Amino acid sequence: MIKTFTKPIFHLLLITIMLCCSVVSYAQNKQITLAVALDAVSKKYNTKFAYRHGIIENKFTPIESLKAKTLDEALKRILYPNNLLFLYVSEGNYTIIPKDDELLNKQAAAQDNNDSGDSFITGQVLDESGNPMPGVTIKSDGSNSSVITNADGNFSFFVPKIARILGFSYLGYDRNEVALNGTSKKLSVTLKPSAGNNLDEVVISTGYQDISPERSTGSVVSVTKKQLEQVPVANVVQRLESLIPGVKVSITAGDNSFAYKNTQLGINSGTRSVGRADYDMTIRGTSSLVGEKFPLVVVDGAISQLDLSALNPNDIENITFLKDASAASIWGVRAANGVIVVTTKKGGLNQAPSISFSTTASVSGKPDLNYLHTMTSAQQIAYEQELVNKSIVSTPNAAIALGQPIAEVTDLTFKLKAGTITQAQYDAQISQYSAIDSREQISKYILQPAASQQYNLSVGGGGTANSYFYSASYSKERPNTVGNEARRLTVTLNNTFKLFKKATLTTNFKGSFFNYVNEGVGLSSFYYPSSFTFMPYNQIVDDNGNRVGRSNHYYSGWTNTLASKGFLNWNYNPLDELDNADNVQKENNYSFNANLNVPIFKGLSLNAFYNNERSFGNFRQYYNENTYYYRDFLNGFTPVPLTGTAVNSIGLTPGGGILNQSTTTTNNYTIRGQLNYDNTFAGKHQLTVIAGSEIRQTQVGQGVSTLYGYNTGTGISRQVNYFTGYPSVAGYTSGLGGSPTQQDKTRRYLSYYSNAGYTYNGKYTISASARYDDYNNFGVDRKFRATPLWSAGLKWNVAKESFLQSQDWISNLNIRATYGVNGNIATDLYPYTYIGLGSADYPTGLPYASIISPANPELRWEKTYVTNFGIDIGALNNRLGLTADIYRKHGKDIFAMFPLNGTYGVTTLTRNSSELVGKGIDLGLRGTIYNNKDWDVTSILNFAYNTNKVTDSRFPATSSLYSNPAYATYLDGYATDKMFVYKNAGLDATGMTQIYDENGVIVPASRNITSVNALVYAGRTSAPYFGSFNTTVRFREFTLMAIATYQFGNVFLRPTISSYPSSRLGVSYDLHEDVAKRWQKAGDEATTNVPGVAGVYAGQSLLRYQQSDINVLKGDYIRLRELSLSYKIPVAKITNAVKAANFAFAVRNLGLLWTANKEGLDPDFTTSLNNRTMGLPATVSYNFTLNVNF
Amino acid sequence: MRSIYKYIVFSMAALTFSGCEKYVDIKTQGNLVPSQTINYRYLLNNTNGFEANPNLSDFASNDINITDASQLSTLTSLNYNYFLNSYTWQNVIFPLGTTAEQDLSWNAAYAVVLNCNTIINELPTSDGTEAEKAALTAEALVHRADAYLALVNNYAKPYNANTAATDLGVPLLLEQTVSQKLNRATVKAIYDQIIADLLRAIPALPVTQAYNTLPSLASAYGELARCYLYMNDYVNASRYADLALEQRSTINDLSALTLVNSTNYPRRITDPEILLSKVPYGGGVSYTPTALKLSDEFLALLGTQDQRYTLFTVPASTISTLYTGRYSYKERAIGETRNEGPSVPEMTLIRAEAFARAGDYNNAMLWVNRLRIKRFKTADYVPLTATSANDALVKVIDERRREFFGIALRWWDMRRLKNEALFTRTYTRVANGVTYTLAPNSDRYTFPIAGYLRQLNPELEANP
Repeated sequence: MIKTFTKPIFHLLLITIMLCCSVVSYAQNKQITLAVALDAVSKKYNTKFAYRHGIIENKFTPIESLKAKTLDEALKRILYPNNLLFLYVSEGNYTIIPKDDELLNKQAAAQDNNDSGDSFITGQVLDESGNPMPGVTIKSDGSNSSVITNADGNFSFFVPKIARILGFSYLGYDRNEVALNGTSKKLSVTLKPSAGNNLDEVVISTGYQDISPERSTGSVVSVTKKQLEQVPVANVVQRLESLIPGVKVSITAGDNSFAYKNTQLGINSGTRSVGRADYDMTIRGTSSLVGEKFPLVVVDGAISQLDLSALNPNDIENITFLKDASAASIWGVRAANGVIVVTTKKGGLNQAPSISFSTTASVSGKPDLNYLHTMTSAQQIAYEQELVNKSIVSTPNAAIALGQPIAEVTDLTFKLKAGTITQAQYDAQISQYSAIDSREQISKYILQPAASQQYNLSVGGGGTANSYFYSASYSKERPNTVGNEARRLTVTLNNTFKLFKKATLTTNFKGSFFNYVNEGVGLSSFYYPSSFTFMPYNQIVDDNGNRVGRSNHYYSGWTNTLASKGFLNWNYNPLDELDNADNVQKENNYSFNANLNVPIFKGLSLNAFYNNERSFGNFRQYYNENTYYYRDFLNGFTPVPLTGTAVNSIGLTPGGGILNQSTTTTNNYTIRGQLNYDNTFAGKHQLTVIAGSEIRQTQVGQGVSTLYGYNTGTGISRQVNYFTGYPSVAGYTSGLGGSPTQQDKTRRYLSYYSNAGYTYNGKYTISASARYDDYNNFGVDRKFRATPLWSAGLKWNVAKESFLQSQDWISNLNIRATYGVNGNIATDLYPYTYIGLGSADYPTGLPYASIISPANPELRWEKTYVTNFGIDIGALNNRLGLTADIYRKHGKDIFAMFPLNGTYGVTTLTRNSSELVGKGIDLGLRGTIYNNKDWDVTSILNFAYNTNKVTDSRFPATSSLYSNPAYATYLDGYATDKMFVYKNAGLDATGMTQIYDENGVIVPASRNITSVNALVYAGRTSAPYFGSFNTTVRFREFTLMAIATYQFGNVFLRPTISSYPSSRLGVSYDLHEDVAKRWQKAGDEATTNVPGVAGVYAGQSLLRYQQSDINVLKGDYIRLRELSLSYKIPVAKITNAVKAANFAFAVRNLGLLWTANKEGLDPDFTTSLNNRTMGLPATVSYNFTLNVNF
Repeated sequence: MRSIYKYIVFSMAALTFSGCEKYVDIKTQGNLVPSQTINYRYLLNNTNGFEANPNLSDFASNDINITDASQLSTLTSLNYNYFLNSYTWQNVIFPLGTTAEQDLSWNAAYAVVLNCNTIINELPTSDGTEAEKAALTAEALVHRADAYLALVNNYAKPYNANTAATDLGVPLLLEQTVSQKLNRATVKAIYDQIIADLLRAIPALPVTQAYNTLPSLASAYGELARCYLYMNDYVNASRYADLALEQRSTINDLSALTLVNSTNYPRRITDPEILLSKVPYGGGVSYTPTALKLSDEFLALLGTQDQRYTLFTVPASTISTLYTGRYSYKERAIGETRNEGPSVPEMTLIRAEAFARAGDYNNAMLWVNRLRIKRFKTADYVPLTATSANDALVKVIDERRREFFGIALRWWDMRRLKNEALFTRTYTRVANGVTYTLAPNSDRYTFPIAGYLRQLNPELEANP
């Protein structure tokens, strides 16, 4: 007869009886019966025990057992020697069972027959890979109470007798229902990810902890590896472009992924430097005016200072975007821009090695030079003739040294004027020039179709006590510019070890190795407006196949006279440069993490974390003696001799060159100790707390040196003097650049942080976090540094309320609200007199320092107060999903630079006093529109709205707004990216731009305007509405996917002429086709708005034309980013050696489906010719991917 | 297992409680730690931070005469407008609301003052020895005196002993705060401060410095001599000029040169003639539109035999094909900005003027000739003689013009001499067809205070 005494009265009665007996019988022997012992324990710890009556009979324990310090200890001492075990049921309730397991089952079976008691069920929930699943909600059909699995996926639960079904649910997983058949009381339940559902495998990682999405109050979006795999580009940046509502990824380079225009770390830059001209990313708009605006990047738990291109996208398990204060404030002062948390893949326990191989190849067309809208040769020739005839360019004189270069037609026209050539000679040359279109040769010799290859191999698996994931990848990229190439090798070694059956040690090792060859001649060297711009009628190679050299530094008439005096050839030809360039950058990055997790006691565990990230970069630029750089440099240091042969004053002899080198090293570490507590009480109260402290150091060093006369064969260079200077071609002494420097910057951070979350009954969650940061460069006094940042959040899981239980169509409904403060720092601001150390004073060569800013004792950290309301809806078994967030970011104490009276010694001072209010909406809508065995149609729509406003009365309209309205700084009451323009009033009779003032009166170019009302508010330059639309259609093994991105509501200035030549600016040729539309003679003003080139106010007039309302275009567009078709090869029918294989063909950069401007301009590529990092719109690229799993 | 726990718990405890504040108390390279004396040495080494003097006077003096339409036209454009405004003695030089509303000359001079004030006031709390600190403070005091002397001679009335106690000078900032009131001190207060600073500096100044950019004893004497000269106190001016010459008296010998370039002419920072190197704001070699075209009247005074004509001026064609006449060229020739700080020739001519003012015209000419003998080819050199004290004075002033063309001193001289009968003149010039006049009692001898500065701090009084 087995009986369980769960009812207190019976229990009490029994124990009282037992107590009496035992005291009498066994006191002298100091042994007591188990019944007595348990009763004593029960009273002492207010616990209840359930056990089969017979199992404690005739068993004894020494009375000392009761002296144990804890309940656990006491029970162990009492029960273990008697071959009994105790099981935790709920707070204060334990079941005692014999060590023999079978008895438990018998006991459970017997319980069903017991009318009075509930069924007691224990078990574990596992995911499809056999890993325990914490946070799974378990509920029977017999009552409304539910429990949640603990950190090990275990649960124990009293189920009412009437219950027949036990349901297991977890967001993103199919609900599993287990029938209670009365035989199995120890369940092992496996949950499978929901089909046709992008929320699978969702883990929210803050970098400090993983939280189940159900219990996260913050605005957090997680991107899975599956989503990342859709885009076949070697850089994760491109893969993120359309995935997350509210995250704006701007790709401003069309032809590359990681072969950035700048790949070198700027040691003195206050913001990121690598890849800045190629892409940008913001989470919920701008949070700062002068500080870093890029989100914080965390990789496997540690802040990474490396660019995202160092990551192999195929290694990424998931990326979590922390968008609001509640999610991000755990990262303290760097969190105001949002946080990107990257987690790399791990192997699963007890899995056979799984090998995955993939390769991608892509090719794309040459970019279209017509997009630059340059003049034809005939137009350019006519323009130059006007420049000469109107005396805008001064007459060249071969006898005068150092005259600036002029274009061939300009020179020719002067020669005609001077009578040194005949009209017939002139006409013949002009007609020859008119037939040339330089774009043909530029395209032929300088541009190439971009191409790239990626290979990726990974293996993952694990045994009983360890798991591993190893990968290697190789990517090669050849951008559009001939001579440039980038290669990347990445290696990842991730291991997880179970130590002593309890502790877990996770290690991550990542290496990325880059090799950039930057020997190309950039397009801007042809088109950048200067006195030696490559003219539409210029050739790289002439009709006879000879390379054409042009004089780029001085007037060719003068430099031609120097050759006979012993000067080096002073002409430039781009193909010669391509042949001679030797410009290679190598970069090795390593990152190592170790994370030890030791469970201490019931839900309490301890983490020790260490991360070290190191990089070694070497940038080497060798100019051999045939390069233009070398010849130009050496000629510059060769005084013109009165007689005899010229000799360079530095003493360089043939055989050597100039070697510029820069070596960059970084070494950053993080050490963290953290206590985690995660426990569930009484099946209803789930508490998670983390607290820790962290120290972090960043170290960056950069050494730059130049070796003159360096001989690659001998390795020897010539010693030079950097400070006394050498006689130059100009007749005076010039200093030699390139004195070796070495900079080393170490920064340290100390932080304390804590985060707590409490969930009641799986329905109501409150969370709070706080962090205190200290940084060595922020203030001499700790009071300047000490700013605790905090947040709090609430979440209501409405779907779990009983009133919605009957609504089957709702599978998920959460309402969230959070509030908190995030910080931001500027690494270049100080409250005391900021004295910056220079290297060497120019004239004296002494070490020097300068006052960068006077003392500003009131300096504080920027704070951004973020309020977020969110709702998550899942309907129809999560086939339809909606996540919406509305937020307000109120930045206070935002740093801004204000004008100051120059009498104080500086004209601006950065203070924290501005307010920046941002508002927005993030919306993600996902739907499985249709699915059955053969078909799957899924669509995702992301939408974001973001705006901001600067409020500060110290940003009044100033002269810089009146004189340069489109690019002026902040204005009180307007967004940070506002744009003002002039009201164009056409041209006057002399061809000068006129504008209207605030009263509608016409203002000539010679007069300034003085009121903001004279300007037109054109709008914002970054789009307030943006997002993406993805659709995937699967038919059997074929999947077709389309990714479109869109933006609405912004404006941009149409690219036009950037400058005209003038006697002040000197000769500078801008080739934009608008030049051909310029005013040339009285009367032209009736037909054109493009101002004339002549006149004192021509510069001002051009600027007003550039920045007037007639040049404002709308930036709205819908872009078809990618179309792909993939085929899942049915390998099972062919071979057993391969588990799965996939082939995909993707076409990227298909162009704009729709755009508001009718000029054929891509609003993402609207820079004028005078932009050094000018990018052309990406051409269509074709990508082939093969993926095989063994 | 136990030991691992212990280790982790111990290291966490260590991390949390011990020495954490010290962890972040480190210095990042490139950012100096406040309160170290060496910082201030480095600050004083920053040539750029101390060398600039106002350049407004460059165009205002009668040594200059811009006539070519091409040059005038460029100077009319908004960015160069202020050169033309100072050239035509306008009452507004930096029109408020334009791109050129900032008085960069004023700002540069006060940037020097900020540097000096920071050093003078922060040094006492730094860690060095008293002697070190006194020496550095002394250098800053000399720079500050020079900055105020330049400011008061540009933006305030010329010194007049009778009215100096009430004439408005410039704001006298002696502390490096950014919130103080900017009311102008009197001319007398400024001069008193200059003299006090220099006298305070003298005991601690080094006798020699490696470069002319760093104040030495001779610099302080030179500044004092100059200061007293512009206070019309010729006795004291002469006294300090003498003390300066005791320290340094080399005059570069031009007699044997056929051209100057950077190889045969000393660099500014080591030029033995220079007692303290100061340059007009804007640095560098004059850019073409702002090239200094010399007036015919000045060229006549200079004469063509003078080596300073041969070596330091060039025909316009060297500058631009569109220009005519002759241009100041010394800085282009030697590749450096022209010095306008106190020099041996200036001390020599101060001594000469003091003799002339005292009636000793022979001695006056003796001192003038000490300079001139180095300024002509030996064959061309003829000693000057004077027939009276006034004659000597005129010749001394003429020699100052020949020696100091293209730098601020000519304008300062025009100011201090405008009411002396011997030198009283009404100047006129024509630009873009308009004739401009500068009468002896004109307010335009004092440059206006920029409207932009007055807009930010209305307490800063305007000039009439």
